[in-house]
Amino acid sequence: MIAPRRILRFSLRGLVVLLAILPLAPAHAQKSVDRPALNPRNIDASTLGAPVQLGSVWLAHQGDDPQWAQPAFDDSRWQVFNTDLPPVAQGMKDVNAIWYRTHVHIPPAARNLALMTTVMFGSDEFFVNGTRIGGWGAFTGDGRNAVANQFIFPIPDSALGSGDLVIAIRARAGHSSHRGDFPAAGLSVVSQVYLGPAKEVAAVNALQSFRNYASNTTNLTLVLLVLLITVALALTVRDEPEYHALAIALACMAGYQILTLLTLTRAVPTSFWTLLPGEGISYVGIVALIEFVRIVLGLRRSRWFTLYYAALLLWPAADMFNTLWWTPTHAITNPVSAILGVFSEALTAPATMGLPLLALWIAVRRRNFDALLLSIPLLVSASFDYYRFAVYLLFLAHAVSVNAVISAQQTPIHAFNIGWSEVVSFAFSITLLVFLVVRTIRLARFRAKAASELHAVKTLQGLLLARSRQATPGYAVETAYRPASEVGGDFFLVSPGPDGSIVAIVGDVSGKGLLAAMRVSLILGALNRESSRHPSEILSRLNQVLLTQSDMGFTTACCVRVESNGDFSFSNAGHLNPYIDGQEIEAPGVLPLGLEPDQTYSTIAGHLNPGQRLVLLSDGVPEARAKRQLLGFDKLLELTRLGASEIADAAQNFGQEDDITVLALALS
Amino acid sequence: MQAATRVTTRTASTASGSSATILAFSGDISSASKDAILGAWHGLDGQARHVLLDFTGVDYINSSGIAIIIQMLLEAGKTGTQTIGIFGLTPHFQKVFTMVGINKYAALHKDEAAALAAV
Repeated sequence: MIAPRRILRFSLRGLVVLLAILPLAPAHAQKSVDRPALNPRNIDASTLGAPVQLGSVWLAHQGDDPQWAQPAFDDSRWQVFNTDLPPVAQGMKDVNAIWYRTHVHIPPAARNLALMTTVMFGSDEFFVNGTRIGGWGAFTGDGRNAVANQFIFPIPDSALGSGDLVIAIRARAGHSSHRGDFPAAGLSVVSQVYLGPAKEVAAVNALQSFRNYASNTTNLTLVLLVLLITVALALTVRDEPEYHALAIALACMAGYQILTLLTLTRAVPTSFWTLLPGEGISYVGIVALIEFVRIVLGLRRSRWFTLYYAALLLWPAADMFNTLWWTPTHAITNPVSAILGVFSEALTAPATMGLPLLALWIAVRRRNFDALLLSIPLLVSASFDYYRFAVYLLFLAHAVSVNAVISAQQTPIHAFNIGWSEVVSFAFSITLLVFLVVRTIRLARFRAKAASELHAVKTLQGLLLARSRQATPGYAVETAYRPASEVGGDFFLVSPGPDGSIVAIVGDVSGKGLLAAMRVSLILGALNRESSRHPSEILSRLNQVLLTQSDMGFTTACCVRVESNGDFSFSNAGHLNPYIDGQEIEAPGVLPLGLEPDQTYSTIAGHLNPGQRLVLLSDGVPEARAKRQLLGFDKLLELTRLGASEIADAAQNFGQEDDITVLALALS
Repeated sequence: MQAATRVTTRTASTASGSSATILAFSGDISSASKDAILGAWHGLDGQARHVLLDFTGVDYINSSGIAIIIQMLLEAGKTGTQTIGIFGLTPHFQKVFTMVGINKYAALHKDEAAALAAV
């Protein structure tokens, strides 16, 4: 069911656009809702077995006089008013206050009757033979704007008399149009009034309510389902921001539908505060949806998007200004109203009609399957707009009548009282659901493939590091390697030489994950091919190798050579210095590897006594972090007296942030 | 969980009366900070003669964060017209910056007053 709020908006926006182009085409009679055109002076309901629709034609009079409710009042001079036609076309100059009357003949013995109304504008009161049977709103001052969807009023038997009924409607709207074209207080092009046995009217009311709620709650349920799946995806795949944007857009859609449901059974005053939630939700929803599409299409968030979002703020502003302040005091055919309506349509057109075409273009041009998938729900969502736009163009070309333009706004499936917007919303939710499912399957496959590749890299890294742990006769070497994630960015190598010396190197590449792991593989490959056993030469050559990979960040490394007599020398490239029995062996600071081509590395010499332990470690140890506190260099003075595994354990237990590598070397 | 990096730019007068541009960092500095830091740096467009990097609000810098700082300093070194100073580092990161040789490209100072006095 098209909600009253939407009817008002569609009517205003659609008709404003229509009226703006109306002078370009010949006028035609409007006939938008299927209602009988009965004679209001004599409606025959003498065989009142089922509810009678009182039709589109009423007697009407401008002004407000309580006497006009009385059956004896002479309304023979009242004009016959067709609610299908604009009031101004029927000489109605003031649609702020109107009374409607109609004369109905019912069986004299008829009892237990009721009156049912749908979609009425402003404040309204209903009278049967002078007896007030119900109503809503206020009749003081300038009245107020409101839309009431569906009400049912029992008629007291005492008001029925002998079978001649005068049904009167007192209507007041919060505007004072001097031209009075649309909307008029009370009855409009989409209003329906039923009279019949209370049970039958209640059945019609129940059926209409069911139809209204069925379509709206079905759509709401569907949107909530898609929202639930999207939220689950957003929580599962946290690094895919498009799901966050889509979740916000869907939450707004759900919010709007809930607001619509709330308007189905009560008169909703048209005021700033009642319009604001719907307008606000609409704005946030459309921006979130554009963001979702932008991310999926792989478009950069350029300043044009920001500018468009800022410009879009004018859309609810123009809508509210038109609905609340301009239309109530000016004719809707006023050029300002027309411009505001066209302006509103033009503002949203790039999003509603442009994005689907952009998605399709990107799908074809870049062979982007995601864009192709997304273009389907977007095209479905835009189909109603394209249809309306096409009808407008045909109207401008004099190929169709005004009726076709008006029909394009109306309910396409009368049997279920479902509007175009509901049909499109339903189809959009379904196709969006299909998009999410297909994309999730593709994402799962892609991630499985990536995980498989990561596993392969991990295996390769494990093999390379295993080669780093060669037998070291004459030395006790202990290593601990604890990557922070699946694969690490730290590396180490122990290489015993034929002269009884041993070369050990520990390093760290900046970054984590697959890229860091690939660099580690590259470095270990280069180190395994290295023929020199001098630390400074080893680092210099590694520096040359890594310079060719300048886009991959930097690598720190500390290289030590220990002779069988305990003499050692080491060179450092931006890495942590070695420690011996809790004492740091300081070296001058040098840039890491892979940054400067002419970098040289000084050599520091020392002696390792039997029983002493030389420890090389990566920054994952001092930069272990808990509650934003670093483990720190001071604690290394104590920690480096321990074995490699104990040092690594201590850092891990403190709070691992980065890869941890410890290499402890002693003469055996 | 790492805190997002924020960079604010301000100017201050040095002891010699000239003007220094201060890039003040806060939060954690990691690979995720690249756009924020290099964006602010490139925003200076080489116009600032004296640039001071303020690390007072920084809790943590990982190796990727240090790589970004080094990249910035190497870029500045290529122009040869700018002087860069650093202040506000914790003792831990003063040691790290010294270890990776940053002190050869930018003087390390204890605080803003010392940095401005040294320009």
